[in-house]
Amino acid sequence: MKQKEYIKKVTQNLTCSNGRKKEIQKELTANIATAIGAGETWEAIQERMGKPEQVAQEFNENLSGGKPGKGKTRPLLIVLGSVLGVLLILGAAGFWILPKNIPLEKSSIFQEAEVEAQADYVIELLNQSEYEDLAMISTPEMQTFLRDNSMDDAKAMLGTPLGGYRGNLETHLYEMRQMGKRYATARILASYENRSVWYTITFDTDMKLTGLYMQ
Amino acid sequence: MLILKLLMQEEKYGYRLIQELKTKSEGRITLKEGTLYSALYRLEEEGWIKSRWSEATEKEGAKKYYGITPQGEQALAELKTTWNEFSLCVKRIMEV
Repeated sequence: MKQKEYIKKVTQNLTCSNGRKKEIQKELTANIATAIGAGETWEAIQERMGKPEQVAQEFNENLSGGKPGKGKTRPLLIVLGSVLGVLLILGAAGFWILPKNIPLEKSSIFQEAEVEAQADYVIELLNQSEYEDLAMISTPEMQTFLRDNSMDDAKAMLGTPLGGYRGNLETHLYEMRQMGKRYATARILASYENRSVWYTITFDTDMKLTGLYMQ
Repeated sequence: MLILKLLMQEEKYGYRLIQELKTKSEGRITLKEGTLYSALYRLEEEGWIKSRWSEATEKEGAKKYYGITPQGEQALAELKTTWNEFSLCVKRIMEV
């Protein structure tokens, strides 16, 4: 297969946004050019990278569903509960552990409508400062965190007061798999009077809140 | 963690990161392009690394370079601590 056709096939099989697809296409093209410049043949590169469908699948499994806007104030990591927000490497096993994401529509255990509704409910509770109700739909680890930390202080750390809630601008849903566990995650861009906020809301298989990230 | 570490000294492009990971791990850690670039995009979303495209020259085309940010350096320090604690736990269990 020729290089252009190869990259085209990779791009066609990606499930991310068009902007991201163009970025990946440009970067893959540059990567291949660099490899050829380093002395690799196109045949060897193709064999090393694998079939274009496989390359696309790696991207699709590892990319998140949404992308936070640029120029945001410093991110606030509230808690991820049982979900690791860092990248762990098991050197002895020689492999890289990274959360793998698939579009929620392809999940065999989570329902898109239910996850979206529950995520909207979490945002509603945050907007109304109903933290006791938030704890009731959370995992024990999350309840401990909510007990020990002030959500109002956490929201204040976002900087500018949010102002009145105006609704959601974007919603991206995906299933995240990590270390044998599966979670449903909603990345929602919520609009307020004074600014927008990206929420990353994660549920376990019992639909209990297990992670919350505000940016 | 490894990507952040490799970017500590200087900014690098994707192909070089793949080659360095392979060389420095003596072939034990090999990342496919799809996995590496996905990780880079996510690290950039987190604000731990930043990227820029170099200008194309007569000799070579444009390359996308990645560099670590101050937040990334802090994250790397925390990751190293977590990893050290984890590897110590594994060692203790294996020695029982």
